[in-house]
Amino acid sequence: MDTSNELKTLRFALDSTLCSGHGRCYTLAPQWFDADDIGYTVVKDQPIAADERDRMEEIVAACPEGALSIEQAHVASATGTA
Amino acid sequence: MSTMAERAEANGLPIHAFDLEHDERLGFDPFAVWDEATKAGPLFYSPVNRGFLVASDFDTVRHVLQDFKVWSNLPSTIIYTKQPVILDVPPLTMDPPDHTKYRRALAPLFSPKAVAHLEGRIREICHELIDAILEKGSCDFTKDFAALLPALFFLEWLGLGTEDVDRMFHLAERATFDFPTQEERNDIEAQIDFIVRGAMHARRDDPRNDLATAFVQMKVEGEDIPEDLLVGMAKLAFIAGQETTSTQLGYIMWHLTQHPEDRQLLIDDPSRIPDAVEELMRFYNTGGSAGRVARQDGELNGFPIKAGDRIFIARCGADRQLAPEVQLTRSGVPHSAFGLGIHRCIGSHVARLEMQIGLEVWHERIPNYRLPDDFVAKHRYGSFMQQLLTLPLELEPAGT
Repeated sequence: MDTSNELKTLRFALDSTLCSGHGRCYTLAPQWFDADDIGYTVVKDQPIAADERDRMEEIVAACPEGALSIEQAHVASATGTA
Repeated sequence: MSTMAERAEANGLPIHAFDLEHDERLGFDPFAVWDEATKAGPLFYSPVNRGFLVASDFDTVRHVLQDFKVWSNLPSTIIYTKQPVILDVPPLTMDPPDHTKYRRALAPLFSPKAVAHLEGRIREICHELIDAILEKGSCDFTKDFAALLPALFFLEWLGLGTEDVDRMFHLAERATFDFPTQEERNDIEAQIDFIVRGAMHARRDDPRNDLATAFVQMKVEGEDIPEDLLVGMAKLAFIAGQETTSTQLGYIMWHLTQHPEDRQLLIDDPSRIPDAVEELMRFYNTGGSAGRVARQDGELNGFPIKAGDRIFIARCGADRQLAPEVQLTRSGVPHSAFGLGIHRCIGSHVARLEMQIGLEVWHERIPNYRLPDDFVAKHRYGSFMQQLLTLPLELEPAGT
């Protein structure tokens, strides 16, 4: 049974109209964000384990523009065991 | 049409005299003046000089800086002075849609990827400056390190000759601190113009791996950029690259001289320096010409805004209010030291590199330093930024 899939339920949502390329997110959490060619944020496309929420909230707070929020990730179709 | 003062009275908006040009207390304790302004309220009216509103908590600051449709950078972002001051530093002196195009052309030149390769040279310059300080045996940190690091590095990156660093640096100082009249401002800009234009002409025929070359090669919507505009943007890069970083380094060091436990934290674990720089910027950033003018009627925090209203963005106090003291190990408290919104400081990535490397190399070479017992901090003021006049340090280099 692959219980790790059950835990991966969160992701960041980025309001790209607010992102102005400060780079706090990709500096503090390079595992979750990339910088594009002009230093604006790209959210990596992978669901994040729910037990990372505290750290995720710190990153949300660290964005000076308030461009980040936390959402439920779309869980992959239930082909795995549960 | 009611004035800001009339509307403030009518709407019960707090009125508090906030005067960056003339308040003498800024020369002794600028942060007390900023903190006092924050306490007046998230939005207040300052009846000094030409009169202006002040946004002084983080939410209001952010709202105004993000709302570019209402709050314009034209005719000028310098709104708190007695005499009007019109700048010519595009694209800061532009609104969308023009701003958007030029910003997009500039952004790749200053992105994290573009500036990463400069790290080695920044590090070398830090060592050279420290070698000179150690040879001298004494140090005024503001003059011997904080002012020279950004100047030497930036002028080199731009492609200008460092033989004349002193002259060019003083032009930037005058541009930041000494522009009480439009005429004086015009004179400084003309001199900087001349220097920068010369470099660009040279690079058209002799392209090099420098910023002046990158500037002349920029395109907007596939077209070359008119030379006057290029020179204007390079002027902004020239001025903005020097004073702001220099001032910030001075205040950071001032904090570290007074908080030996914070200094030891960075010496014991230099990987903490990046977070420390952010937190120290939050608490000690006096800079940035942050003003806006309303393009249209609107409303702010329930207060009625009329086209033409001027507002000053009091970022220093707003950022300090987010947390009452410095805690170098945290990373969740934001700041607006690099501005917010579409005009966010484009140099922020390279400024961070300079400050982080500057602190790292300094503490590697000179971990022990102290202020003289009789030192009393004094600050230059009068323009939009306050700056330590001097920061003398008594030094004990590593290995002594």
